[in-house]
Amino acid sequence: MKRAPALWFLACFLVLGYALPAFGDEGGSVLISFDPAGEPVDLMTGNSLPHYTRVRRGSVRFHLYRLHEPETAVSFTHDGFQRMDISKLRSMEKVQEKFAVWRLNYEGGKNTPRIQNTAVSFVPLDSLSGEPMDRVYVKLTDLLRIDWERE
Amino acid sequence: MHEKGEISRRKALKSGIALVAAGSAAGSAEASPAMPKKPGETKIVAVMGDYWHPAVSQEVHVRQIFSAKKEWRVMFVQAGRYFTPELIADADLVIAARYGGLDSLGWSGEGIIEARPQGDPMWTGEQVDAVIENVTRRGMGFLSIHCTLFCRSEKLEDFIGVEPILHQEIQPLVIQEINTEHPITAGIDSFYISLDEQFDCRLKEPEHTTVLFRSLAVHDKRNALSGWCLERGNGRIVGLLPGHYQWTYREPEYREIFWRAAHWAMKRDIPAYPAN
Repeated sequence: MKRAPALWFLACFLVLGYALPAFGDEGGSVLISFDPAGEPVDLMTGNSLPHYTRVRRGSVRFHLYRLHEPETAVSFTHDGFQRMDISKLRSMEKVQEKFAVWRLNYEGGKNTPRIQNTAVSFVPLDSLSGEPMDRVYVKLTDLLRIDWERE
Repeated sequence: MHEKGEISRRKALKSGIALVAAGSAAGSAEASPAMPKKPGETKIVAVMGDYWHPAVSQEVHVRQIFSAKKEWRVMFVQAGRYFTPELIADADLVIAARYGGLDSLGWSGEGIIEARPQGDPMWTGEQVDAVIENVTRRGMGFLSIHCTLFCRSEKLEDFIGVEPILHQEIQPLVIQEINTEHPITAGIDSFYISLDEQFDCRLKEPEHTTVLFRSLAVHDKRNALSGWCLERGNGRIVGLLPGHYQWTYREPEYREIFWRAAHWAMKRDIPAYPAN
């Protein structure tokens, strides 16, 4: 009888030990590509940043006007101001940097509008350990691609 | 009003349609007339206009451009359900200025309309396949005008040879970097469109595609690829991206490009554009 609670506790520990990271990661990572020509800087701290390749799924946020107002949707212009929730996006890739034109690939189609957001933030994953690091804020133009579909 | 089943003979004669072939449009209870071509006739099918792009002015201007060609029969499709494989099976040229999606207004033949049904889809798989089949096999010409590149069909995008890029705000355009060698644009000088919507595109097969001209958007200074042409099988395609408003069609240089593009797509000699 005394062993039952301990065994139960051990079982829970083992289950949660594997499950918790999954909850935090929302099931994996998101791939990002930085523009090779760029030298990204964290907009909050001013620190130079490496070209991260994986970020924690669920952590990507777009910033329209203020860094302290993260949004879970990307804003763009297509016959007016429109928004698309991140949950619907499969990937986005920069097409014309000068005009902030990105190709948005989403459920059911694609579009290549001018993106209104100027910054994006995310929680990068350490390239060796895979552990989440501190959230960073970069100019959207520093990136080439964000891919929610591939791990 | 279309009676259920087919257009009545009385209405057909009244509208000047000499022959009405009964057919059936996929998914519709109404017949879709094939409007077969008469001997010696050039049959041109146009599907132009939607919520963002005025159908009336496009039809007015396209008819004016071709007005000198008395043997050309230019018919304008009023609803997606009528753009059928049967209709274009003998067409010499299809002119499309239509993005993918439902017709903005559901079709009604009534003179006074209180309520409209839902619009028909445009650029269905069947419609796309029919265009591709007729161009490649039979040599039908295809003009992809303005918003057609946003057809929401990867297959049609591949066929016309471009990856679409969206426009910015409506603004003046300068048509420039005009191909001086191609018969569609040779001898035409740079010109100005007072208001248009500048789509852009990337060529999927640059080695097989000829660039006809580019445009410079006056407000945001984007230089965009705005005219191109290519051959597919036995047929030809011309893509012209200007054409959001009637202002484009009021430019004599653009009307002449349109005239030449139609002839070239049909593999015909290009006569001088009649001044009118």
